[in-house]
Amino acid sequence: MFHHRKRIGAALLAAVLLLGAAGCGGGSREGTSQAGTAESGTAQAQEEKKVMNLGSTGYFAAETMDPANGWDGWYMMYDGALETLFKLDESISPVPALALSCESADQITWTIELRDDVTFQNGEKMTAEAVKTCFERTYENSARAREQIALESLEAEGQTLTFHLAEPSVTLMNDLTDPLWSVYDAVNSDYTENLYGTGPYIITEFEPFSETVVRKYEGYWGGVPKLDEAHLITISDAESLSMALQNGEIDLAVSMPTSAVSVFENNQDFVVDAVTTSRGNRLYYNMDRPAMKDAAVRQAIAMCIDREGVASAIYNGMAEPSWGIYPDFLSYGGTEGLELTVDRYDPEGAAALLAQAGWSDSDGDGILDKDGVSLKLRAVTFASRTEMGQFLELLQAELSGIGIQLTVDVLENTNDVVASGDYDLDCESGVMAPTGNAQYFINMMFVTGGTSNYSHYSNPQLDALAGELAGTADEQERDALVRQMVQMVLDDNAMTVYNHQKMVNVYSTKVKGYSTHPSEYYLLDVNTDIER
Amino acid sequence: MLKFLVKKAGTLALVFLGITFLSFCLTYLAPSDPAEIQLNKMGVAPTEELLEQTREEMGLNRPLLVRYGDWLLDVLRGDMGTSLRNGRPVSSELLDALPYTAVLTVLSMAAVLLISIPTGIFCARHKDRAFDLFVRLVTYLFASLPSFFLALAALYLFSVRLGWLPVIASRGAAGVIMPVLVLTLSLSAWYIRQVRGIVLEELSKGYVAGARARGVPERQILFSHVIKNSMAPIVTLAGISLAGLLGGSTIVENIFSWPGLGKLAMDAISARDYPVIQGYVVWLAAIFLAVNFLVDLSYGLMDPRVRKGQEGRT
Repeated sequence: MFHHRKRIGAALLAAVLLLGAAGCGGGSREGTSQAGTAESGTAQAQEEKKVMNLGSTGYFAAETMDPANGWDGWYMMYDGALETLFKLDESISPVPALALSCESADQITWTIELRDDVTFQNGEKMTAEAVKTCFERTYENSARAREQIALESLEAEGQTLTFHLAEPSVTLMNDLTDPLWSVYDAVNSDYTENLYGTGPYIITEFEPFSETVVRKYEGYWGGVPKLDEAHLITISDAESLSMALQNGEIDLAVSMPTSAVSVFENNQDFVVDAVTTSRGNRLYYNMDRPAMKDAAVRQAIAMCIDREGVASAIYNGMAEPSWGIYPDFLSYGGTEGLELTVDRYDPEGAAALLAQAGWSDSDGDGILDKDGVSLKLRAVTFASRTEMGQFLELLQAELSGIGIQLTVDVLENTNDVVASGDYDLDCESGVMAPTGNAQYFINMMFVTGGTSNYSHYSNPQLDALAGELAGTADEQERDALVRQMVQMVLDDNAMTVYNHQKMVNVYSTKVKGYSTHPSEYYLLDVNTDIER
Repeated sequence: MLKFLVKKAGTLALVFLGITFLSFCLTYLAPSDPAEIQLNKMGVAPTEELLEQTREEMGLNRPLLVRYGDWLLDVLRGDMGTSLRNGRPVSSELLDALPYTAVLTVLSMAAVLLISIPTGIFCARHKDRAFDLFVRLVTYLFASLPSFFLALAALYLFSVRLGWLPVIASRGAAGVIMPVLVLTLSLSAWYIRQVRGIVLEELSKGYVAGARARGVPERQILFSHVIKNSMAPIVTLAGISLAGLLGGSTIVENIFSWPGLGKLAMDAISARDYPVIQGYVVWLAAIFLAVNFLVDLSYGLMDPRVRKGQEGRT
């Protein structure tokens, strides 16, 4: 009887183990070819080939292999698969890449001479006709492309591509640096199995949101890429990303959260590469709400932000405190020549300003009020950038000291709340000059009814200047116009950019030929290398 | 018995309808407009005219109940709509993630039951002895630690310090070990205490004292009566855990980059991908109802009194 039970027990155990093993195998197989390759790319294989593994919490999350879909072109430019006619240099100015020159007499007809030595990754030559076909497809499929460039028609002859625009544009070169305008073989790519760009790396395996595998393109016009293969892996959790870098599973972590950076500082096996970008961490004041209509309240809040303290304590020094809007390295950025309404951390001054504006604690509840409006405010932000939640908690404490009650809600996604208008303050983060063109940010953020004007700010003078900027070609005049608009935003306290965050990439000292670019557009290139 | 099954199925269908309706209302009640999300995903600044056109195309202008009815019929046909993020069918998204979650579920549940049931019984049988006290201390510790802490501690120990296991679990067969380990530790700590409690309660009952008085051997009392009588609450617990695990372990899957249902749901919530969230809720509802139904049936198999009750209603 007892032996019988033993046999049954052993059989059950074996069944469970077999089930487990089968399940485990099934899971790996279901992981599509990406998991299979990951397994085949074991240490031994990686020693023979130069393989680099890159990790990020959100920079490799392409949805499709179609450059015209959403922001996917951006991700694939990161992969080294795509290139544009012009690229941004270190000062975020456009310089030729696949193009040799760009000319226009009237800003309506632009003639672009293309390089003669470029082939797509399937070996086909990049001609003006091929680029025309590609751009026409992107234009047809992407409303963002249509919003960006008012294209009338394209004309191709040999290596000369001519843009005929519907209206004058002085920023075509800037616009063409956007990865949306990447050049790919639109005739032979099917965007599910293959995409033929012109970059140094070909996408060989693609798993949406999770992993992209690329291998070198031997026929690359800029020389032979130094890496044989690269794996770009999404690791959702910041701590896991940090540990994957520490144990050598990945060689480079893109946009390491600042909280995880300290582990790698003063560690001789790693390089912490921090570059100031045009990413601005900012506070919107919803001027549709009664309290936020009062400029004194907005200014008082801005005065309670200890920007130096926030940059050093919350961002671990990986951010530049800001008192203006745009960062210093842009020709129209910095604060020189501007009259700053808020130029220092001054909670006492903020309290005095509110008192002067008539705010007092009339009902004795410890919170300021005026004409039946109490300064009980709601701030929202999104969770994936943990520093912003911490910033709002700090601000909450600061504001409580001057009689403002702030409720902080950290959400997975703020879009729903922003759409409903149920917020007083909204803390967001974003690149302010992705193509170097100031018009982009101004139109979205400050022009009346702009798509991201979450402050619901409206200033007819600024709207007029924005219109003027669109038709101004001279760089100096453009910069002057931008600075005039920045001055208006500062005068009205329509938005507070409290710092410009650095792009922090951390990588093993085995990684060679790489440095972080301030534009957030570029990652793998022909020179990126790894020592094995 | 047939009547019992029909009645039970009817109740389950009603609950399923209720849950799916609430899930469907997610889109309806959300302040943001699915048409706007769709346009934003395409990188378009939505104009009112474009929004209206997209709403018409997406059928958003029809009455709520009509939309729900159509959606439910589609769901029953296996069509849960398409993801707003990548345009893939929601059912494919769920089916792609399911094997990963199923592997974690099967391995974790098997390990939990293999560890917890013998340990819990042994502790109850030898209550307040050294082993029981030690197990109570350890289970108290692991039950108090949140799973994300256990996951990060395991990563630090086995991946960073010892270098035995990978951080990125989906890259290789060995990767499954740590997520299973963390789930097993968290669940076992709770299970051992539950099994111990259930068996202790059973041991205190009069029939055990009677059996002992009649000189029935202790082993026979334990294996033939006590364990058998303890199975119903243990199966209930296991059913709830099984359904919970099949819904995906959001935290563990995220930390270990394990592309299961929990991670899919988390990503969908972050991206406001309502069709995927709805599909996930439908899956959760279906799995919980199915497991509960099976658990109910199993009572009849384990306990003749229940079986009689179920049959008696026919």
